[in-house]
Amino acid sequence: MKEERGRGFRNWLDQRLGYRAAWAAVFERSIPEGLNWAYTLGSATLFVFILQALTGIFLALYYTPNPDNAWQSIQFIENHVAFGPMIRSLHHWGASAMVVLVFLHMLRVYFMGSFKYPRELTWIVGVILLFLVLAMGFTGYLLPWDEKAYWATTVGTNMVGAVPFVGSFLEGLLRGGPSVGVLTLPRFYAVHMLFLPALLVLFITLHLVLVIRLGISTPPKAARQERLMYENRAPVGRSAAAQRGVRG
Amino acid sequence: MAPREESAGLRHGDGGQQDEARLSRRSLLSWMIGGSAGLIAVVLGTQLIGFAASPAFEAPSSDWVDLGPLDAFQPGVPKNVQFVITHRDGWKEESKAASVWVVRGNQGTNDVKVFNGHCTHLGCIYSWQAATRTFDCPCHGGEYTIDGRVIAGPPPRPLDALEFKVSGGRLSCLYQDFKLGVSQKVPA
Repeated sequence: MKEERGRGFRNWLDQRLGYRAAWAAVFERSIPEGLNWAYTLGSATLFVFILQALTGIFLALYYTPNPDNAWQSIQFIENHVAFGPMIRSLHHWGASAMVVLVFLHMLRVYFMGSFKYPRELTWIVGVILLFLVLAMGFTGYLLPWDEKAYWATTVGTNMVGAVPFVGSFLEGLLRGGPSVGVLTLPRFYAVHMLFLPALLVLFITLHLVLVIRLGISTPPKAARQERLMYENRAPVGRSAAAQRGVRG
Repeated sequence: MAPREESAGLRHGDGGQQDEARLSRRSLLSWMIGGSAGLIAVVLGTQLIGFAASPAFEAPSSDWVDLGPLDAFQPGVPKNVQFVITHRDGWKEESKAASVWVVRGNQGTNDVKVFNGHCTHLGCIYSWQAATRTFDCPCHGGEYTIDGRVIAGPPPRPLDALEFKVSGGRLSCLYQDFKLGVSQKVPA
């Protein structure tokens, strides 16, 4: 990226912030040949995550994590707040979309062999993100505080109780008491709203830094063709593909 | 690296035509992406702002109570009307039962009095006695005339007349409770 020296606010900003270089690093990086729509699943997940964050932040304006009022506050969102059903539905369906998309993204990475050197750490961070997303789904499920939410959480935390030796301790830790009740709801709310989002943002940032730093892996088919090309051209010199170093 | 574009001579275009082709493809795509992003931002942003600002547009709750058609009230015959008032504060709803006495006179449609159904002494429910043509309170013997003036007992002030209006032949009143046991009519 050539540094532009000149007048104007954008140049002033760029000389201090270097945003053009950052923009180029993120949006104008080289990508390998042979990519398809499956390679957009990660970006799709990021998009839905941002949507979830936005709608979640706004839902917090009305939602009340208190067993006496939680359900009523949601009825209020549904029946009295402008665009309430829309915003809540986006968050509701977005949650399912997140889980579906991270799984599809993981399958793509697995079957394209993208987790191999040098991208093992990206994969590991990705697996952490998968569990964080599932934890988001689990904690968010209780918040409507209806029968389904209550009993799903009762069953889910019962499962934790089945862990040998420390099961009942973990169960109490999750529920904030012997049964799902007054302390469970604020607990799940805090985890859903504060603990998990902080971790998610941290690991998503790390994941993206790794993706940008290491580049997208060449799909196996395209890599094979590149290798063939390189072998045919071998006497002449190293091909551009070979010069780039290891790719997938 | 994009060998496909390179082989088509589009990446480092040296001919004007190719340059133009490269520009239009790239800019078309970025316009499409930017346009979609902008559309999503506008649609979502509008809804989020509307969602957040929603309570600010809420009309202040009014406690006007519909008391039914004016013709249902006969001049000189007080009539009791009972209703439930619902006061809404966010998702919190408080309901309470209330009643008023409607007294119509002979001087046309605006000759109406609507009395709060509580005795001004300590809030008991008084009722119309057709035999004596008085409003009698059973608790401490308070008595009022058909106009609400105190004629006997401890009530410190007349019956509390409420604001009313007649529109489209229907009578409604602005229900209000007042401080009990004092001679001044002060909203509670």
